[in-house]
Amino acid sequence: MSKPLIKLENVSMVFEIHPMFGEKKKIKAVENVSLEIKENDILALVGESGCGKSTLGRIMLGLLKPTSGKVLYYINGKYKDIWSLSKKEYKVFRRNAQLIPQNPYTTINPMRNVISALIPPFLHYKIARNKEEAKKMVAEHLKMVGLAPPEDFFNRYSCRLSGGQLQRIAIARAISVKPKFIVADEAVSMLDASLRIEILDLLLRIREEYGLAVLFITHDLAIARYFARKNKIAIMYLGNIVEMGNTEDIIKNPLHPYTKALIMSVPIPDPDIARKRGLPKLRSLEVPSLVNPPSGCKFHTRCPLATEICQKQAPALRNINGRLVACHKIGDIDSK
Amino acid sequence: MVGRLRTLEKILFEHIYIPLKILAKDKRALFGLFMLIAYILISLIGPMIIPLDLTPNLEERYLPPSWKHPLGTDFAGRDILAQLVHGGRDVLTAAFAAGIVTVGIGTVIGIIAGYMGGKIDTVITALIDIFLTIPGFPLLMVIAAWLLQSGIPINILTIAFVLSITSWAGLARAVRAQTLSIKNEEFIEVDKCLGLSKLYIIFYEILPNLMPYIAMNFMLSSVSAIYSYTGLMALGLIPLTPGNWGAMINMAQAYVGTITGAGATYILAPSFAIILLQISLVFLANGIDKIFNPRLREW
Amino acid sequence: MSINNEERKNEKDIILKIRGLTIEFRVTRGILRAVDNVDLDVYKGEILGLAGESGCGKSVLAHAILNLVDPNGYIKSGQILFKQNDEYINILSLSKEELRKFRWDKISIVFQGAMSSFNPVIKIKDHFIDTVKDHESNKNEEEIVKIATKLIKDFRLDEQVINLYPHEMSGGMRQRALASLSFILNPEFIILDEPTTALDVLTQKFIIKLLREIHEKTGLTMLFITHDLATLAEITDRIAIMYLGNIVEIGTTRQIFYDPKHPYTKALLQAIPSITKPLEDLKPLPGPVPDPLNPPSGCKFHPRCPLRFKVCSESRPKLIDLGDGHLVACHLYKRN
Repeated sequence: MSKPLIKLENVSMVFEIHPMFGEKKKIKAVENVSLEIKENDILALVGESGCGKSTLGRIMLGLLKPTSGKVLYYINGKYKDIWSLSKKEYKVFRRNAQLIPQNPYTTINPMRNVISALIPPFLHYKIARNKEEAKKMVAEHLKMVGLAPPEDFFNRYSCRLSGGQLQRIAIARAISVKPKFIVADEAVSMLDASLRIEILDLLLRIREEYGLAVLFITHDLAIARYFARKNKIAIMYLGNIVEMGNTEDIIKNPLHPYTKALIMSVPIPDPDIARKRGLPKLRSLEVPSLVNPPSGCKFHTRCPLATEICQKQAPALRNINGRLVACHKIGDIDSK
Repeated sequence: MVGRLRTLEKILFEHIYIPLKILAKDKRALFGLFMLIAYILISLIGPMIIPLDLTPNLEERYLPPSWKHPLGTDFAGRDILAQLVHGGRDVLTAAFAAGIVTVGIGTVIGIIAGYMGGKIDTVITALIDIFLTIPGFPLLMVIAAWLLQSGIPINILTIAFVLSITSWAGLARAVRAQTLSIKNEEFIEVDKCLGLSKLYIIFYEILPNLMPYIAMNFMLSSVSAIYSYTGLMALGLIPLTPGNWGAMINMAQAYVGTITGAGATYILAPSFAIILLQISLVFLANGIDKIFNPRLREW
Repeated sequence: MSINNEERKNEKDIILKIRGLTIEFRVTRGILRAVDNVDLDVYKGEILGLAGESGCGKSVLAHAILNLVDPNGYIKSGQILFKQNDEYINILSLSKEELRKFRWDKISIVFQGAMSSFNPVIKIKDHFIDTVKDHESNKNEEEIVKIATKLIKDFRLDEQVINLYPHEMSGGMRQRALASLSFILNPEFIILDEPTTALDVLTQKFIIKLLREIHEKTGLTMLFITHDLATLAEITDRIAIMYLGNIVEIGTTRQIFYDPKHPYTKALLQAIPSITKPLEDLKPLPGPVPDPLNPPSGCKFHPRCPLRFKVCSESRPKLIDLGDGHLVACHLYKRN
């Protein structure tokens, strides 16, 4: 049983906006989230735009400091908050946590070519002793992600490369320092549908080889299922995790009303099945604003099962049949 | 030895051949480049070929153009062409020196404001706004007048500094805006994850993105400096140096007063020299953008 | 019209005929042929889906129907014939004034990216009023607002939206408002260009269902353009698949999903994960994606086609009818 590599404990992130006119506004992007990623494991983080999944990813990488809560990393036999690590320890963490961003065209600086963007990490961590060695390593990594012959790509700029090629380069860049953990933030969302599986397969292969833990952020349930099929998935809504557990379990048998609505709404490329499905019974189509979120359970304004308690009290994640669900109405026999 | 030769080849290739190739597609930029080179060459070599004789020759005043004096003579019978050729050095040096100082100050201040943010940014932005609001040339006139009676030696360097006081703010603002927009890009986030330092990010990620602005601004600041420099001299606010185009205009204006008839070349020649140089630099500036921005290249 | 309708369509029922349409764009690197000699029939009262990946030309084709090609593009050849009063008129040869009357009244379009489709300084209700007044100057404002309010409510927007400015609404709300605006003049034909792409999945599902309802009530003809093939399964009667400017296959929705003939269609369907399909059935579509400025010779798909043979690189296959309305452009098939 592998141990958790990174643990988030009661992490919240509140952004402040200072508009020119008017009062300061607070956006609760992430509220009281606790989760952990085990070594070598995959956690798919699914939610619609604005639910806070990207913010959570950045917090896990130490790129954003949460307004409250702890980000714990396992180092030297203990779990320590990454914001209070010593310089040496932080260097270890920093090397082990990498990012694959969403937009292939801004994964390397558009004004620089591939080789100049890929060499620096090798030199910084002294993985290569000089530029020549670094170049050889870059070539190896490019081959590893399917870009061959690598020398063809050295002097190219992003504008002359396709989305698929750029995402491969993004993967090469992330694994160049041999990390233990990667956050893939909508890594295939901006690619054509026919290319996505290829890149996901590549990422899965590399994960196997390197023994990586991956936080896979996406809004697409079908892609999440493909990538995290044997692993776990967490569903987010307006800054909270509403359901978390085994991917296949949750998709076949969702418990939280939001998850159920999502699964009923995901387009299915099968006309007979698609036409038979009905609409989820939502009370409203409007996604509440993050500046003024609903009280209690944030989904209550749209939830078909909502009652008084849902308006008053935010539900905690409870363990139901081996998975975590945050809902007052589940577990009641008459809510089926 | 072979290795070093190869590197030299590479530098030449990357920094001269390719930019030239890119520039060649823009006819106006090419024109600008050639004219600039011509001006530089004339300013460097010209004085050696055409001696400057400033002794007054009152018999040959205001002669129209002839073989002996291709551009005629001035109010004291001196050859205009010779003065023009000698004056070029001054003007070009002042212009480019001012350009470099402007760009230097503007870039550094802009990056500090953009990257550091917070209170430093607020203070610097206020400073930029102040300098942008004050009319440039009048401020220059005031500073030049003060400089004259201050006892500070007036040489090319001081003039360059003075000229750049009014032009650094524009670039600083553009640099700050660019820095702010790049600071939050995804490739910077990946750099941070990869452990690359703040200095690395500034020099290798932000600066390359600023190069188009810097290069353009360098050209345009030089243009503006030419204008200011010759203007200040034409108005007599800074000491006249012999053969300087601004000085020529100053004299011409005082002594001639018309642009037709005798002495017309005296005011036309330097004016035309200034205008042509400025136009060339502007054309070149427009073409330079392509060199620094790979996205605009045709291949 | 039921999706199982496999009767031969009557010539009389064709509301839009596109013949030999070729559209090119002048770009820095040369001439880009976005639409290449396309023939397409749209039957009255059907919902036709136009699917393909980025760069296939579907959006350009759709905009051309209303003669709305981008300024740096031009229609090189072809006709777009619209049936009016038992006659076909060529939309491309209408005068500016005729075209203006034609647009929105006979054919209207819902664009992608609703923000830039609204005038930011006038209220939603004024958009409706202006549009109607432009075409039928006899209606008075009160009547118009009444009809507009009803349309707005159909799209599950609050009545009050009618008094809002575009920037006061969320992206999802704007998209729905835009969709409702396109119905105000009761057009015979609506083009929807990626109408649900920027929306969250729950809203998307709702809009698709709503469009189906509207279609059932009014028998409106719809052209639905998207890169997400799965969304079409639920709503279209027929689907046309585009690849690099050519239409490669046209068939009923069931034909396309259950019995695809063109290797590209087959590969596309196999490369798209869904939450129901077994994961082992998925297969990546081999790259690389060709350069649209320099498309492959003969059949543009041949370099990536697992079934290619000699003639595929030499001559471009034409769309042929396999019987029962299923058309394919592929050398593997002979006319039935």
